[in-house]
Amino acid sequence: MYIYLRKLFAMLATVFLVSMITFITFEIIPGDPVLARLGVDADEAQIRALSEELGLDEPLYKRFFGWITGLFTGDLGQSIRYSRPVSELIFDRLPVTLSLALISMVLIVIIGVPLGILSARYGDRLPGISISIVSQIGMAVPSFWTGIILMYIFGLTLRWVSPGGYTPWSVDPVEAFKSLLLPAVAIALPSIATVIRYTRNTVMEQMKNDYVRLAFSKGLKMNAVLFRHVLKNALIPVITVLGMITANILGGSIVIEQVFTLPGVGRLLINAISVRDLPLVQGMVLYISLVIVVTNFLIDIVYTLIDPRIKLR
Amino acid sequence: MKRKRVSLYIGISIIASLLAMMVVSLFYTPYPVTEMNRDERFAPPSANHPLGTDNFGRDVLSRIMKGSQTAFFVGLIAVSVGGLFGVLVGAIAGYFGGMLDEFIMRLMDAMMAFPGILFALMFVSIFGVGIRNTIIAIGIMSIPSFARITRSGFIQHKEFEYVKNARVKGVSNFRIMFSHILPNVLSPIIVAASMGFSSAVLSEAALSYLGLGVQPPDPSWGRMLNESQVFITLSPWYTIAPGIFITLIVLGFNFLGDGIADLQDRQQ
Repeated sequence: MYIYLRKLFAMLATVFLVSMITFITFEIIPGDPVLARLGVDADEAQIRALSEELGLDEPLYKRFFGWITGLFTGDLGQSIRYSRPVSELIFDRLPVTLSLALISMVLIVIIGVPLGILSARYGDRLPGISISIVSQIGMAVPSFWTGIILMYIFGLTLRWVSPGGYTPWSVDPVEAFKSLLLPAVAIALPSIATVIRYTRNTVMEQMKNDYVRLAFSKGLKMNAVLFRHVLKNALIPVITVLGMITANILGGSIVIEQVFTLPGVGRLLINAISVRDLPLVQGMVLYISLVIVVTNFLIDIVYTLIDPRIKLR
Repeated sequence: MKRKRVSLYIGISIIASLLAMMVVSLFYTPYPVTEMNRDERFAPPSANHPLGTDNFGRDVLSRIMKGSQTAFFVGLIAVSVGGLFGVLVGAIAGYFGGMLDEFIMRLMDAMMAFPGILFALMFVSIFGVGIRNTIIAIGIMSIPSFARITRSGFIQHKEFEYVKNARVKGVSNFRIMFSHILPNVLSPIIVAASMGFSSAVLSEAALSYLGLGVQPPDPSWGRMLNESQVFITLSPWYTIAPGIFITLIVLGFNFLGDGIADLQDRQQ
């Protein structure tokens, strides 16, 4: 139990730090938000009134705690551009980005892990080496370029899917899936490559252990050793990598949504940045980083459940 | 055994060729980078224009060559900034330990949890768009990986005899850290720098693709992708060329980093 409490505490500390960094960064923005709204001709009384309305006359720490409480009550202020609550805007766009992230994650696991095992099984022989080289290239290709090329091939030339745009799940699930598949592939490719390399390395590392030699000397075949003994041990570090990949996926979808004109959180963020809608940017940065911190926490917990030895450390 | 060096050789040859292209572009490009030619818009690759022309009839190869300057410049400065601060912070955390270490590493964890591109976007949204802020943002993003690697090296080395000796002799902490320990933990930092270079180039390309990184007239491969995407049905090669060069430079630095790491493994 102690370990969970400690991890929970570490997560809360990270959440606190992340929100503090986000808050302070937006505090040191050059330019006065009050003057920016009223213009330079505003008189004293107007400035004071708006400062009070925005709560800007309060000391820094008070505003920070006000903002942080807003985080838990879902009140992160108003967007300047859309004149709507920030949290409402984000929740509107969330389904697109989450579906995208989920499909990518599934692709990464069902393609990355088996190929990594396969590549390790052949070790330094040709199939192993070639998977390894292809994954090296996969890591280097920028995902937005893959996205553009995929869209050109499957959307514009072959016309299998619509090139960009989004159909909501509630309207037509098949179309929705089709509109999300290519972007998800583009996001997933670099991470698939990372997972392949990582799985290959950990499996090959495990193969050097004594328990593997014992299993072979019992007369077990390669596949039995691999899937019954090695995999269980090799998967634990792979799960950590999946945790790190959450950040990649969310970061990737910010760019990829732009390529495929998907109405997700990423596109909202880019729009918010280009019109300098700072309350919206601030809220979104916080939400996205929270999703990542919490995911990492959950993965940490799964980790201790799978491998009880970790608790002892 | 010898085959392990393959990644090192591949990495060196890719980076050396790109570097050569960059140096040549300082003095010579086949066509002036901004020269427009209405009659030759969207020309496919030919003897005159090996990579074709763009929507203004400008020579794509010349623009790719110029763009390599931006890629190397952004990578070099960003890695230097990130490396300098990362090594400093990591050295302090590893050498002194205790609460300071705990605080620094929590901060680094928080930074690591942030998607790099998100931080960079936040940064440019506050301080404005442009090549300078792009470089600073990417540099800050790369601090944690340098800090972690440096810290683990320092934790290991501070228990060694030579450090204890130096301390007994009354050598200052600063000198022990930077002229005794640092040279001994430099090799993993070099690997991190090589990997950092490739992620810096990728981040710059992504930011410029979004229109929030390098601004015209500075040439950038990411920006070229942004401009070419609209015309992809007219001239696919205009989109393909910048993507291939981004991939090449990233691949080169990844191979280089892997190669150096392999080399170190064998020495130990």
